[in-house]
Amino acid sequence: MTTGANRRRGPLWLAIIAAVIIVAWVTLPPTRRLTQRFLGSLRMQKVQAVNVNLSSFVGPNANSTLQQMVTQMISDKLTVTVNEKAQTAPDAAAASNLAGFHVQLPSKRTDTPVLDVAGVHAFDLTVDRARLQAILKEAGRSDLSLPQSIDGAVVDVKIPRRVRARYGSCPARPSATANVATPTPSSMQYNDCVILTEGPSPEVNVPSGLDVRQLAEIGLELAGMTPAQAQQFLYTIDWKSTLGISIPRFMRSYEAVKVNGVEGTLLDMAGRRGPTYTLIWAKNGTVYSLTGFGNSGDAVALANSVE
Amino acid sequence: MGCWVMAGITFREAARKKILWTALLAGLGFLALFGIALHYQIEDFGAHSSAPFIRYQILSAMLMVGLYVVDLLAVVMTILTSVDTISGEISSGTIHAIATKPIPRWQILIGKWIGFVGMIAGFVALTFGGTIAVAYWMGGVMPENAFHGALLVFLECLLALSVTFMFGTWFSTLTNGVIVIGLHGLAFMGGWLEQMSGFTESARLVAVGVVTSLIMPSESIWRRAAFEMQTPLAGSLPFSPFANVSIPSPTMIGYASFYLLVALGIAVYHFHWRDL
Repeated sequence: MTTGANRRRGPLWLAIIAAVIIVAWVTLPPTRRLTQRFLGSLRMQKVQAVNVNLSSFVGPNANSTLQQMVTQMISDKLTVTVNEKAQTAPDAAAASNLAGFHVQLPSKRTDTPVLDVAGVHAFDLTVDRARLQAILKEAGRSDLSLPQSIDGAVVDVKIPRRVRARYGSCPARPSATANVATPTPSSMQYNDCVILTEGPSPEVNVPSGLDVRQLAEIGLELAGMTPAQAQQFLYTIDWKSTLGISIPRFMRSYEAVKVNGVEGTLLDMAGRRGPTYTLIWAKNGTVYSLTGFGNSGDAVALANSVE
Repeated sequence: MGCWVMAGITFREAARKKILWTALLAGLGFLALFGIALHYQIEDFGAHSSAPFIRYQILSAMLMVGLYVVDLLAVVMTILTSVDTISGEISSGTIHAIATKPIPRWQILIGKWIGFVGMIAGFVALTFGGTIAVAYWMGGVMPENAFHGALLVFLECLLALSVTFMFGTWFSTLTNGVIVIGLHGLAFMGGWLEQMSGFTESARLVAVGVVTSLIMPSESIWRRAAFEMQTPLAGSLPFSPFANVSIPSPTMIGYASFYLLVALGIAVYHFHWRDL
C-alpha cells in the first residue's frame, strides 16, 4: 500500500524537483548568464540597423528611412557609437538651444507646434564587399566592379541633432510598434496636420571606391521610385541629405519645385490614407522635410514661409 | 539487414495504402497552382513599368513563399503519414505479427524510420525541386544555395518524423498527432513572433522565439534555410516576410540535429522496453 502510494507520488516529486532546479537556474546570476550566453549562441550575432533608426523622424505611413535600407545593404556588422535620446522643447528658442542651430518655422502657420529635438546618432559599418557586389548584380548593375580594398573598410555615419515641429491634429508619434499595431490614419482625419523636420546634413565618411549614391538609388527604387525618378531625385538633392529622410510607401507622382530659391522635390502620395505630400529641400547645409495631410498645392507656399 | 527489410515493407505499404500517390498528387497540385500564380504575375508585369530588378525581387519573393509552402506541406505530410505507424500497429495488434519475427525491436523501428526517410526524400526532392524548376523556367529566378536549403527542409522533416515516432511509442495515434502538430504549431508561432521583432524592435519577442525553438526547433530550421536561400538584397529588406531579422546560427542547427537524435534514441529505447 505504502509502496503503491510512493510510486504514484514519484512523478509529482520529480516535477517539484525539476521546477526547483529551473527556478534556481534562472534566478542565480552565474547560471542566468550561462543561459543567456547559450540562448545568444542560437542566433547569429547581428546588430540591427533598426536600433539606430530615427523613429521620431519616420513620417507617418512611411517606409524605413533610406539610411536604414542602405546600411543593411552595406553590412550586417554595425556598431553604434552615439545614440542620444530625443527631447521635447517648449518653444523654438529652446529647440534651437538644444539642437545647436537656429530653428526655422513656417510663418504661415500661426498655431503653436509641438517641438521635438532628436539626438545625435552615429555608427560605424564594416563593408562586406561580396554582399555589396551581389546586391549591385541583382540590381542590374553587374558592370560595376567594387575594388577589393573596400572589403572590411569602415564607413562612419553621423546624423546630427534635428528638430521636428508638428502642427495641428496629427496621428500619434510613429514608432516601429505603432506602424504595425495601429491602423493607417485617414488623410481627412488629420487634414490640418503638417510636420516639418530640419537639421544639418548627415556626415558620412566612406572608403574610396564605394559609391553610396548607387546604393541610395537602389533604396529609392525599392521604396517605389522608377529608376529615372530615383536618378533625378538624387540629382536635385545630395544623397547624404536623403539618408535621414523616410520615403513614403504610396508615392503617386514626383515633381521638382522651387523653395526659397533652391530646388526642392515634392512627392505626391495623394492617397486616401496617410499623408498626402512630402516636400524635401536643402538650403545652406540644412535639410528640410515637410509632410502634410492636406492639399499638396499648399506645400510650396508653406515651405516658402519657413524662416 | 532487418532494418532494410522493414524499410522496404514500410515503403511498399505506403504505396499500397496510396499514401505515396496522394502525396504525389498534392505536390503536383501545389506546383500547378504555383505555376498559374507566377504566370499571372508575369503577365501583370506587362501592364506596369517597373525596374527589372524590382520584378526579380517580386518573383524571388514569390519563390520564397512557394518554398515555405513546400516546407510546411512536407512537414505536415511527414507527420500525417507516419503518425499511425507505431501507435496504430500497437493498438491494432499488427505489431505482434512483426515483433515475434527474429528481428530485434530496434531494427523494426529504425527500419520503419528509414522507409519514411526514403519517402520524405522523394517528396521533398519532387516539390522543392519542382518549385525551383517552375520558378526558373517561367520567371528566370533561382534561390541562392538551393541545395543547402533543400537539405535543411529535409532535416526539418526528419526532426518531425523522429518526434512523431517518439510519441508514437507512448500514445495513441490521435494523441500523438495532436502533440506533434501542436508542437509544430508552437514552433511556427514562435518563429513568426521572432520575425515580428524586426518590425516592433522587441528583444523580448526574440527571446520568446528562441525559447520556443528550444522546445521544438522545426521552424528555426526553416528560418536558417530562408537565410541561406535569399539574396543579400532580399534579406536586407526590412519589410520582407523572410527578412534577416533573427537568423538561427549553426549552433541552432546543431541543437536541432541533437534533438532529432535524442528523439529517435528515446523512441528506440522506449519501443524496446514497452509492453506491446
